Amino acid sequence: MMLRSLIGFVLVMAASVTAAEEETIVAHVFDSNINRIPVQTVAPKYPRKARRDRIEGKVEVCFEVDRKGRPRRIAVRNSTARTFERPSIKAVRDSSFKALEDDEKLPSIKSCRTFIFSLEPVEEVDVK
Amino acid sequence: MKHLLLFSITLVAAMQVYADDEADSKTVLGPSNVYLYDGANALKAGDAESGVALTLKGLELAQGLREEKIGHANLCAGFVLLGKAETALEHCNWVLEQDPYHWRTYNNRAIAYLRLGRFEESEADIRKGQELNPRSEHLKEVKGMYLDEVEPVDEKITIDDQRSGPRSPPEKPE
Repeated sequence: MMLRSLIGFVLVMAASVTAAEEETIVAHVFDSNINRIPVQTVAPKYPRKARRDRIEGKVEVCFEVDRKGRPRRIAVRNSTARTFERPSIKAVRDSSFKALEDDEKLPSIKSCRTFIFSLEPVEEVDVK
Repeated sequence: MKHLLLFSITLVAAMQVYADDEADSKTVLGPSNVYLYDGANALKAGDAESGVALTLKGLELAQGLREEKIGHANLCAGFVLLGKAETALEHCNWVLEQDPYHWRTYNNRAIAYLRLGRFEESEADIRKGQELNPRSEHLKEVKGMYLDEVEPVDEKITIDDQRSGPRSPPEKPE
């Protein structure tokens, strides 16, 4: 069990994270007890108007993953600002997980992914 | 960037003049000052050079304060588009001396100040404009431009995966 979760973690680390825009910093926090292994994790695009108006927020999206690794029944569970909901749903829809082997049982438990949209001050660099 | 600036600029359209509004007449007389009208359209289309040239002609032929105000307000916008912020300021100031409630000119002057690095004055104009028209998308755009200059930020998105299920009870305070 321990070995399996360790393998899962290593695979997750190797999975690609796709940022919507090059200038967006994307951090992926993994929870080793996630029930499916992400293959492609798509980061949502920061909504332009939210960035303009300096709005930050958090959206929790829950979904099931089918045998082929595609997210299904995607729904917002918690959200602090509606503006982030659509890009978060799209990011989950465009993501994929490792398909199950024929002998593996499809877990009934849902997966949830939380997207935290934040804006960080640009650090000034002193040039001497 | 030019597209964003064009969106942020607001123009006073010198469009059709309706005859006898009070009598609810629908007779359209057409633009009262063709140069101002064409100038406004050129500026709206992003052709700042033609827009400014036509508006300057229109201003020469302006009849009454209303047309003069339209001319100066659009020149303020046009010179901002041309990157001539100092000249834009002269026209913006003229409009605001005549009409201190002209939110569009506060919007455009805020951009001119921004271009000149006069951030405090830019912020003051954005604030005044938003007092007059709190829901203006143009002013929100300009405020965003102002914030990008004085408080630049990087977007960060953190993705946190977890399994759904019963949540653990909150920790009891000791």
